[in-house]
Amino acid sequence: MGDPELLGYLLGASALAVLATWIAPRGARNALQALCGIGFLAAVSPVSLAWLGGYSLMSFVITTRFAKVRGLTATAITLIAASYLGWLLNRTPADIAGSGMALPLGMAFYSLRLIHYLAESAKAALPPHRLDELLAYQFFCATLPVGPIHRFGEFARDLRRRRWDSAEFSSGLERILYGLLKLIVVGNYAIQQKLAPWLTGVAAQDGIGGLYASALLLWLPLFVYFSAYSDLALGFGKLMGFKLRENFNHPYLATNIADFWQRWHISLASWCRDYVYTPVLALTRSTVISVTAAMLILGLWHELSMHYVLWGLYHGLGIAAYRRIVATRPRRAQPRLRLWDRALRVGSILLTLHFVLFSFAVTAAVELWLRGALTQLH
Amino acid sequence: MYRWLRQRFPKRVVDSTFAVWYAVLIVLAIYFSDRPAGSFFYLHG
Repeated sequence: MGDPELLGYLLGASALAVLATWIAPRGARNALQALCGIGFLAAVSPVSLAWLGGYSLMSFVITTRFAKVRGLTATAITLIAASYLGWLLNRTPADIAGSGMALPLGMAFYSLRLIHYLAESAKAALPPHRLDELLAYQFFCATLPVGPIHRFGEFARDLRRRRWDSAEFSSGLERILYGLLKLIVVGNYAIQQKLAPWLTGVAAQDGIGGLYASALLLWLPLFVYFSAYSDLALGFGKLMGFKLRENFNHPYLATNIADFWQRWHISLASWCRDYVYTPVLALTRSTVISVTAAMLILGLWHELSMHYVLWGLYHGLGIAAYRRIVATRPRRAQPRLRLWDRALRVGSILLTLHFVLFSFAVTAAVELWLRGALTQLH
Repeated sequence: MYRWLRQRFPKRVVDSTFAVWYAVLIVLAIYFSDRPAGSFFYLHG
């Protein structure tokens, strides 16, 4: 299936879900909203529909009927994580390069949503809910393909409290318009058609210019498309009466690497904080180990490879080092000049930007060096 | 302008007018875009 059709199906299914939300009888709204997501997946990725449907039903049965059976929730979480990792392992380089469907559509995101749902159930933190509410959450079409990874508790609250609000509806449409313009004008036209060919030429050259061009070629489309699809999801969420969490908050203005991860893909970073960082911290009492573990999982979520292990370590150790520096830095006795503070802030932003921009290049170089060293050992 | 209009005219009328305007722009944006960037979907599945 070509790409335009995919976007068309997403917009169509989301528009139908909006209609179902406000036109259908109250008792049928959740089921109809879920049906829109089911229809979307049936059209674009039946494999995803089977996986998400099967795991959602399994999760519902576990949380409502067998919540007290020891080890069952942990087994289900392991099964979901193993399924996702299995798909990642079976990807070929051609899949990753984008010549085919690398994963069942949205699997990277709905797997984390399922794990969140089961983990909250294990903590007895889930609100009482029905199957149609869970299906409306899991098959919420606006967030199916690329997130954000929204939370069930907040979703279920909005599901019950939502009321028609003309200001929110208008604001939702405005957000969708911004998302589309970002996608079409900035992403497709400015970056892909105009900037990318020029950057590709520069990237082919040796030297510092080539390095910058390669990094920009990687990060610029990623940021623009990802934030554009998040805009679409948040906009459609507003149209249906949901307040989804923001996924991006001007990440290029982050003043340190810890700040960056509170601004970039916020829903994924907060998922890792809640379900990796906090449990590991409780077990080890070490912030260095827990933050490294969280970033390692975050890296592996992207791809099961040596490169992403190193990428996760790079970011994890970066955050740990930053925290150590801040903790040991002496506190200022007197306030500094405002100009100096501003210069320091600009310097911090530039440093963080470079740390992130060159993360792939640095980890690729380390990986190359490691592979060379391992080959020599053999 | 949105706030200014909402202070002077019925809020629902202003919101509805803006909603219709945004909806028209959305339809135009979809209609005139010949290369929607759906390929991004495949990046993370």
